[in-house]
Amino acid sequence: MEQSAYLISIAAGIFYLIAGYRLLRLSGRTGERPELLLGIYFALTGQWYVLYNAPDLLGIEALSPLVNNGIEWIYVVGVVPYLFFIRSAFRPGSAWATAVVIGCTLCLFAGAAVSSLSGGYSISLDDPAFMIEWIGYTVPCIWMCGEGALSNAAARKRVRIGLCDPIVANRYLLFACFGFCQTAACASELSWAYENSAGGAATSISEGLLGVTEIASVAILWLAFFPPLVYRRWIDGRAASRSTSAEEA
Amino acid sequence: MADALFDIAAERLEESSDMDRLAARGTLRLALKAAGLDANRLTIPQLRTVFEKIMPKELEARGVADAAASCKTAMGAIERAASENELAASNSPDEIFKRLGGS
Repeated sequence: MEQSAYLISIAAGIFYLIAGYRLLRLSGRTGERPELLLGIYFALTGQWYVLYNAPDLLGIEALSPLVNNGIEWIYVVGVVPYLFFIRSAFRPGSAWATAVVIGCTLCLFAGAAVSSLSGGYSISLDDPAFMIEWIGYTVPCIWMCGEGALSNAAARKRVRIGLCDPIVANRYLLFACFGFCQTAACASELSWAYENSAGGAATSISEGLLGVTEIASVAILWLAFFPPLVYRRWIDGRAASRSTSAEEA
Repeated sequence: MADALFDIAAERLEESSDMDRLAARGTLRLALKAAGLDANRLTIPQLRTVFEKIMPKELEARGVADAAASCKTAMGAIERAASENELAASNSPDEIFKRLGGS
């Protein structure tokens, strides 16, 4: 990859670390589980982004397989609380949601275990460990995208009758967009795996898509976790004008 | 618990509007859908808003006489019957996503 791609990924990782730290502090104050789960996810994912990309950016040749596996396990362990967060926020007590959490966790751990035992996986369609793990971390991204979109549609109805804050309704949409960007990043990784398995190298298309989705993800989460005053006012103003036009109609 | 709240609300609506059980439950489900609410995660304040802003029109559309009074009677009965069954507000998705942005 290009140096700029490593830099973008490390910058995204630092942002995730900041978001994770803020969420963990929030959970310390509220004692609630959802922010704790999301905080652990962002803290571990942020660490993974930095540790995975820093050696390449710094020109460090090859890390030992033990270190590489350790870095991979940080990500695998980090996705599990994200799955629990989606379940606890949107589908508490749902049997199918529990099945998705268990299925994805098994895929993540099986993929990481097989790759650890076989000396690390390659990003290739021919590597079953990579493909199993890929399913484990792509499904939660699609799930988040779907739940965010559904919740946004319902929340917009609640906004009209004063049962939901417009900024909260918008936050559902932002999380749907985050899920979509992460799904696109996973898809670009799959195209990269296809290129690798065909004997080629990653093309600028899959690298470019990965970079764009990382930048978009950070921008979206910035609006979700640290919404500037001007953005809040824009969302409130838009909701107010919508309810006015609905009343007139 | 919210399932119980839906059941209580449907029963009280049935009593106050002279609709049969099926019609009361169906009307309540339609009103909740129009309000963007999940029947499994209801709270008393949400139901109060539904019975004030949406349900009167739904009852009028079904030919219920004095729909507004029926809604008021039903809501009063729901609040008396269900005060202990309310879902903890901190667990609702809206509350979770409100906290995430620090708002």
